[in-house]
Amino acid sequence: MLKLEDVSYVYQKGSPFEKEALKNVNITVEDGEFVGLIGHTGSGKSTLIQLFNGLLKPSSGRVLIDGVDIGTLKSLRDVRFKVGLVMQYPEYQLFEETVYKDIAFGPRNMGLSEEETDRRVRFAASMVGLSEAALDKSPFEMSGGQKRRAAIAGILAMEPKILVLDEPTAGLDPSGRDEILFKIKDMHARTGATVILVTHSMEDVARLAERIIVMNKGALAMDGSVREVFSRGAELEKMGLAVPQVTKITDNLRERVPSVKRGIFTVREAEREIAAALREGEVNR
Amino acid sequence: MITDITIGQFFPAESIIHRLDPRTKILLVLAYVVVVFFVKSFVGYIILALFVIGCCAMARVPVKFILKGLKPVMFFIVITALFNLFLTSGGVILFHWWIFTITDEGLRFAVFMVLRLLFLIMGTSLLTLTTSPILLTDGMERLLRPLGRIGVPAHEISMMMTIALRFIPTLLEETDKIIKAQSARGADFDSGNLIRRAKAMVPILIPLFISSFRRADELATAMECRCYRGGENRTSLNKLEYGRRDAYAWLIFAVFTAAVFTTNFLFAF
Repeated sequence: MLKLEDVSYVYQKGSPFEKEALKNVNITVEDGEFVGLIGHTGSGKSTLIQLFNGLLKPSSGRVLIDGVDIGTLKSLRDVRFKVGLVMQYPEYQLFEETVYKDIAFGPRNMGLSEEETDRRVRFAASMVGLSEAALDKSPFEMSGGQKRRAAIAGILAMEPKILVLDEPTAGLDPSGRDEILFKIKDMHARTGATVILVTHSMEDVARLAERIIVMNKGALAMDGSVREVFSRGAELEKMGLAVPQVTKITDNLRERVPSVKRGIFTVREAEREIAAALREGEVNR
Repeated sequence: MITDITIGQFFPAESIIHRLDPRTKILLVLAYVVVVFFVKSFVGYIILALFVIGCCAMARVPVKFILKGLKPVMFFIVITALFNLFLTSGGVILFHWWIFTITDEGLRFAVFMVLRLLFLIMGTSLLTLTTSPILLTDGMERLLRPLGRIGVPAHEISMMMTIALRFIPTLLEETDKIIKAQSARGADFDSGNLIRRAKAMVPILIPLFISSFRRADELATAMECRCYRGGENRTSLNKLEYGRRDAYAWLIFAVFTAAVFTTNFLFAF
């Protein structure tokens, strides 16, 4: 369980560039949840997730992992293995000669045996869809999408209980994007790990997450189920966010065909509703 | 955090020092560096301290900000101090134990060396703190221009220096990001012996190297896209002009220099 109690964070405290990035944030994420974290650029999302594994220390408040205040720990390494953080553009952290060695960096730091490391590397690689042949390649001669997969696998190989991903699909082509997201969803279903996904895509949140946390100007703006959050479209728009496009379309459609359901977030649901609306139209005509 | 390093950073503010012509500031800093090495007496150091603190106050840069810039060089200052303290011979022995000997001469040297380095860094960092990189290059280019006749590529040199200065904060930020990313994978930078620690730097240095090359390449392309082609016949939007305040600056500096040299003659200690 991940718990934030009254967490605030101030950048460059005491300098003229002082900036309050987070204000009294309270969040509890239970084990096994799939949470979407959304917010406008500069809303504090990236700062927030760096608090989860102790890369940043809160200026005030506490961060608890499984009930332990990580501020009181001597070494944060165990926290890092428990809370796997995939930072933005993670491919820039690749450094080893081969993809295999790079993915093994985390497990080796954990002090795992060679066999266990090997098992984890191969498992993580298959999770993100990297072939056995890719493991022996140099990460620097791979395409951007492949690099991204290798970098994500580097975190997955630590088999964290809580996986945090900061815009894992930014800058990827649509097919690569979908594949990576569904691999993550698949992993979530298979291993039961908690997943916290930071994204700008409302569509992705709608089809993957169970719960959405909305950050606005460093404060927690909304926290609820996908349905609850996306039914507050007007508020989201005020924060520079939006509801998924299909939600907008079906909301507009409802003005003409009142029978269309509220709270439609995925293309599949919309498809069903629109088909139903069309059928109804036929009957009425 | 590593991004706290302030060397080479510009601190925007409204002050008379900010408004000085960059050429004046560059030349004054050069002259200042020379003068700092001529200070030989305690009274001289007091004058030096007053001068530097006065300049900082006039520049309206918070003292805290300047002191923060000293942090990364503290290590070298301490080492220098220790060397001077223990390795200077001559004078009265104040303290002796095993192979360590401290003489009054050594103590004096150590204190002076520390002060000298501190004031050197404070004074020179004031140049970059109060001059925007653009003005800094403009000034440098103008100062180097006469050397163009003997084949010195003035424009290219100043351009290279600006780019270097401009990228210090960027690279620091990048380093910070990479350190974080590797820490997230359990990298350990603070334990083990020297060799282990050096090895622990590899996961930081390789990505940093690669991204620096990438950045350089991208910058070159971006410059080419905007038809950048060096200094020949290049004019600037804001022409540099000396003002009355530059004359005052030189006058104050001359008084300061005179004071320093006088104290050298008047005070032996």
